[in-house]
Amino acid sequence: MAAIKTPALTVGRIDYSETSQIVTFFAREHGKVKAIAKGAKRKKSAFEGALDLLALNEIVFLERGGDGLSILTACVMRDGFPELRRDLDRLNTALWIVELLSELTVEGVAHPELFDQAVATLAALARGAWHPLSLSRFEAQALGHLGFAPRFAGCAGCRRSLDGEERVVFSCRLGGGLCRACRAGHEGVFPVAPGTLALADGLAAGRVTALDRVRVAEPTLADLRRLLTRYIASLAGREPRMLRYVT
Amino acid sequence: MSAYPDALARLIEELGRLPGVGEKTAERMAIHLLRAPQAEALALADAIRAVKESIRVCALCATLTDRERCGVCEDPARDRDLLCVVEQPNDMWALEKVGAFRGLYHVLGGRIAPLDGVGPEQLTLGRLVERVRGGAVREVILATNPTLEGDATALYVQRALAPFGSKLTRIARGIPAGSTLEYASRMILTDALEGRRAL
Ligand SMILES: [Zn+2]
Ligand SMILES: [Zn+2]
Repeated sequence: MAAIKTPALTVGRIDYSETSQIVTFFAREHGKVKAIAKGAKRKKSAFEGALDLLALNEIVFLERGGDGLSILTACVMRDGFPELRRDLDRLNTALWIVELLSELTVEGVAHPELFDQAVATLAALARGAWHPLSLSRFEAQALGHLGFAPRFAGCAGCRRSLDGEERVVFSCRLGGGLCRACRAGHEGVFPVAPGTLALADGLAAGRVTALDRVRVAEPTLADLRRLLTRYIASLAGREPRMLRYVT
Repeated sequence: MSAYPDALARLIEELGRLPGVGEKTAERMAIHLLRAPQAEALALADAIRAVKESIRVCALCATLTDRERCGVCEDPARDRDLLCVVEQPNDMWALEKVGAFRGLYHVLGGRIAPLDGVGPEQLTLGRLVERVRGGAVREVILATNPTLEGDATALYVQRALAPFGSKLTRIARGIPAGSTLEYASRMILTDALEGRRAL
């Protein structure tokens, strides 16, 4: 087994035995990694606080032992984002990002751009450089990196522009908006304003960059949150746990 | 197939479930009990039965006790306007062993861990709010563990208690981040309490 060294975010941990934990990382070069941290719960653990959720670490692990688990051999914390732990709303938002990474990624598939973006987003949140659209932008771009890029622009059925359409619905199954003519027969769709789809498209494609210059009305913001979270929940196959805590 | 008589094999199996007890140790313990005088061995069985049958939750602070109210809540010498909020009875017992705290406790019965599906409604938070709402509590010390979930829990409690005017403090960070009160030394626990900061 080769030792692999990589930056990684801690996105989950569960007790495995009296002294060990199974830690889930989102590693820059390896995607999701589940590794056993032996002795993590001992008084004097070699890993100390580095295994706490949210921590950005430099980890070394041995890939997949016989039981399908990798073995963590070193974990040094680079940033624990202490500011996030002093504010409930920021902490909940950060944990939602962690849940998203954990739920929508698979083991062994690397997404380095998504990793960098997640770290940058957590760092911005910690600094307080946060805009009402920051989270939505991260989510929209994360979906793109993960290969779930929604079709926010144009009808997912007939490909025509949705501009000027009065009633548009979003289909989680198709991952896109549907015009009035195409919506018949599609189940599990929900209404969304065409302007919200256009905004989501701009965020996902990186066209909306200077967020502090964007003015978005409260109803559009709420519509955007609903669009992204419902789509993410459908991809995850269950209601994400952090959703009830994230405003 | 074990060569032990069934009853002995069963005792070994049960002892082997205890934390830190491997198969060899379980065998040694079982054989020790087998050879021990009847009264001595049965005293252990009685103690286990007593723990399971008489231990309940303190009506005031929600720690584990064998009476309606625990010894700390019943002690007239304790500062009744000082409240220390901990996750588990173990944390309270660790602080009591040090003897550095003279107020009352409130045991939450866990920590908020939203990613594991543990929300505030699963803790004794409502009961804590009731205790503080009356206005007789001068200071509430948040002594949840310095793990991420412990910090999250402290933030929730802080938000829930903010309207009632009690001073809210958080224990100092002498305890290494990610570690727990239960494992901290006497010195560290005393420092953590004395160095608490206002929120
Ligand atoms: Zn169409
Ligand atoms: Zn009590």
